[in-house]
Amino acid sequence: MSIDFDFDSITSTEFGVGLEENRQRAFFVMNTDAETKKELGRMLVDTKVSLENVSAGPALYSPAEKYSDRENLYLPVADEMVAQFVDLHTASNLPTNDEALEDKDKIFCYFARFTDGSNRQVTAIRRASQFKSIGRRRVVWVIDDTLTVVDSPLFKLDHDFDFILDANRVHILRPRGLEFIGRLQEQILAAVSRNISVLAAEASYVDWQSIADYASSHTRAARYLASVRSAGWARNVDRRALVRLCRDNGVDARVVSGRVSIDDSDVIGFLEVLDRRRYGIALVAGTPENFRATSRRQVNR
Amino acid sequence: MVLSSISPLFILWAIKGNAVIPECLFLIFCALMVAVPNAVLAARVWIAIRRDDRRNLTVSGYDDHRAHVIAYLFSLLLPFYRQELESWRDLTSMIVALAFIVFLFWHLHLHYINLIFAIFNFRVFTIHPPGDENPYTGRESLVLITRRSHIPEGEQLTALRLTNTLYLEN
Repeated sequence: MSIDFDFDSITSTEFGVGLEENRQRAFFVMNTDAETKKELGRMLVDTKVSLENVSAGPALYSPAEKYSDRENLYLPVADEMVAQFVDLHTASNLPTNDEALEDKDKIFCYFARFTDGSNRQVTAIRRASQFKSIGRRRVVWVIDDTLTVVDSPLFKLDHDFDFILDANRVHILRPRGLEFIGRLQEQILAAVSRNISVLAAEASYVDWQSIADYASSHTRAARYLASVRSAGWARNVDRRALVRLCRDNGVDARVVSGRVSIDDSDVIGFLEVLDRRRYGIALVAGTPENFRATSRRQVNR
Repeated sequence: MVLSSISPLFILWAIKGNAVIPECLFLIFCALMVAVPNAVLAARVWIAIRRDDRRNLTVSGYDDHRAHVIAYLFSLLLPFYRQELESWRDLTSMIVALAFIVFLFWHLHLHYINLIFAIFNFRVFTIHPPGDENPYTGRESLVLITRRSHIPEGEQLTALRLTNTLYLEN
């Protein structure tokens, strides 16, 4: 699904920054001139082009997947991982703060909200690493063939945004940018008990308590949990097939009183099996080979 | 905007005259007090248009302050107009009183009381933001200068930004 927006008829552009202090976040609009608005529009188009140039995709973002710097991924706007961005996208009359750039250390992202001729809106967001002032470095400017030191603070826009929200999806170019701005790691850890509840309902024959205890303090396990839950990988899984696949891949899955029990040392392996990252092939007769995939995409027949 | 809104007072003073300041100087002063604030306001509008300094605003509800123009007439124009300027003391007290009024107008965002806009058939509304549960939605009421007579609830409009709290829909 392409971005639901007419890039050739941008009627309004709003620019702003996100500030964070004492873990409290707020978003403010800043006043910009026509030239800056045009530049932001160019950034938006470049982001769209970059997304289209990624050969594979768009694919559903998975928190457990290892991604390269640039991808073409998406999350539905209903996903709780992007709830704060959806709030930013749908917020009305964002407050203005002309002094937001004074304390650059508080800026964690910058964003632009665009409206097209059909009144559709997109919000584009970028991590603020390069945007922050480069004023500490001496910048010289050529004025009248003379090099002159620039004293006023400068802020550098990037070439494109990390991700774009439209009415239906979050279109992700840089997953790391999304994870940083969205504090996804914290969200994923905080979601462990919620995810466990869902998975326990889908696969009640597994003893999830030990997995919950482990994942609460281990990010990778929490990511796998989130991935399994969001993809629904625990639904309709045959218990016997699960145990067999675990054992084939060196994961000690013990069945005690009809329930599959996993030790801490095997939690990661078990979750990788559920998350479809452990698989075996038998190309050579009598020599089964088992693999672990850090990144995988399902191939539909 | 505030000084522009009291420019009719200086027109009345220029017509009425005074007994303290030489006529020529007084007329020049009144002319400047009329022309300069309105020129600055016009320039602000022109700059906003040139820079495409627009914002999308959502209107949940609005207040129409047309009735306040009457309060403006009786609290500002008439008392100051009727004051006789026969001595330097009268003039000084008048200027100080006017300065207080201007400050109050500015502090209370009462700059929407502007006869110039009224003459050009603009109305000045205070628009209220949506009371939704979105944590990032702005909570501040804004002033909108528009030719509309009515703004439907939930209306989304685009307006020129004159200040962070004052917008013009042209």
